[in-house]
Amino acid sequence: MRMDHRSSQDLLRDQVAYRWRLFVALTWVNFKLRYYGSYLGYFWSLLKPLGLFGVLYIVFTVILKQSTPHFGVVLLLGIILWDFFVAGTMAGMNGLIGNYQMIRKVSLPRIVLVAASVSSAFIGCIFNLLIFFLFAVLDGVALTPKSLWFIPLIIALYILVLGIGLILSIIVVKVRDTLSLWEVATQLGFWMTPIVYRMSLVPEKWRFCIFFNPMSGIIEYSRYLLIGVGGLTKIGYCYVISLSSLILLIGIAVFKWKEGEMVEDL
Amino acid sequence: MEPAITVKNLSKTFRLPQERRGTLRERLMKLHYRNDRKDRRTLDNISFEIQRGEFFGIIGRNGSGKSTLLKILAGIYKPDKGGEIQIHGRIAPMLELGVGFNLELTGRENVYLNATILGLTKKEIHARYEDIVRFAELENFMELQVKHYSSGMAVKLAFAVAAQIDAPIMLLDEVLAVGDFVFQEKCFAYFEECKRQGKTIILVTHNPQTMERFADRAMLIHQSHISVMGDPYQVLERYHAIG
Repeated sequence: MRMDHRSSQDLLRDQVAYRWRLFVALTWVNFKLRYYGSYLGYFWSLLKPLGLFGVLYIVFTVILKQSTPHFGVVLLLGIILWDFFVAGTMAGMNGLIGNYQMIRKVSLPRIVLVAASVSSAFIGCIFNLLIFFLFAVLDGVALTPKSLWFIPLIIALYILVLGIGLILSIIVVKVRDTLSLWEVATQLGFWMTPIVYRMSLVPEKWRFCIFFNPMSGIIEYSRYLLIGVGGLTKIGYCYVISLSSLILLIGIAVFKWKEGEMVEDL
Repeated sequence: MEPAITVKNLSKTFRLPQERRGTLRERLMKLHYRNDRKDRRTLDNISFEIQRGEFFGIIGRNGSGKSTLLKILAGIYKPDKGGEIQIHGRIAPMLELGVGFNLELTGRENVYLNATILGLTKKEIHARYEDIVRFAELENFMELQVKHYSSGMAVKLAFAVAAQIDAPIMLLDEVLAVGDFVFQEKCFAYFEECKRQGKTIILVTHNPQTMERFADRAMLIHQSHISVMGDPYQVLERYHAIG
């Protein structure tokens, strides 16, 4: 429908370059806005996961007498990763409805809006992980070469969250309740994922169900690779990575299919 | 030479549901009967051509469909099937100012964000930053958060950024020329400069004076149709007659 006099290769390159610039700018702006306004900014946002960590730690070690080695950092890692799952999917879900002003005024690659929201939460997760590494070192945890296998896992986590965020960002336009529904779902999800407990504590017959949830694998295996607690199977690892990739592809497909209709409903 | 923009048989229909079903409860409750959708034809079989270098005015009352037409040309809405739009050359839509402007950010940060959204690279923004600040007359305020700006200041800044966008075809809403009299004249001077550079400009206006001052040709949109197209004076006569 539109014609331009430059070659289609140039056009494509310009398009991709524009999308990248927009993505970086929006991610950075979203990140700044999350923590703006107060001097401590970032540290306030740390308060939530650390607070949760503090309470759970006391409950499980002092009151329930947990005996896992390095329980503190094991728990902290789980909480940090889960916190990104919740924050990232919520941010992604708001990607369209939160930016409706922009979408109605200018023609924008909308997928970039959702991706930038998720990515700004991801930057927060990276900073949290640095804090985790600090605590881990203090706790006597030693990283090994196999810890490098954590990198594909964290990427899998990112693409899983992005995929879910894309799907939610579309659904929420038509069904606004999804915001609250998802909050409830993640509350339940917290207990259905081995965060405060380990896979080994789950009775055999339930283990498969719990493992179905990709976050279970991501958290269990991250603990194994970074702290050395728990176990890992090659099949399980591949499952987690493949499922996350699949969810991303589904997310992109659903988004591209429905995004055109959404402008009018925003 | 081919025209800058060719539009053939363009229509736009909005499907408006009779009832709002935004929440899950509403949907489940009303699941058993269809939500009748009323179709609203905002644009009905529009066809026109705009030549290169032409200053083309579009005028019409509120609700006539002209904003929808602009949004379709700008790529925000998709037209109904069967319509054809051909745009030869890069088009810079400037329909609203300050897209992406965030009150919590400073003037400088908003310039960078807004300019990026409009398509400039970081290098280009660096190079033009001083010009933008000077045009907006906000030299001492760039490090201040925009929430502390007066509305006039924010608008001047937004216009200053938008004025840096360079494209052979420009889609302008006259609403852009706001602020005090001096600044309005700056905006109009900008329109005249664009015209002098031979750009193709499509300007939407409510104001007959603007039409008289700038337009080579014009079009009146009334109730989703083109009422009259051609000489700006004829178009204006019709516009007054309708009102």
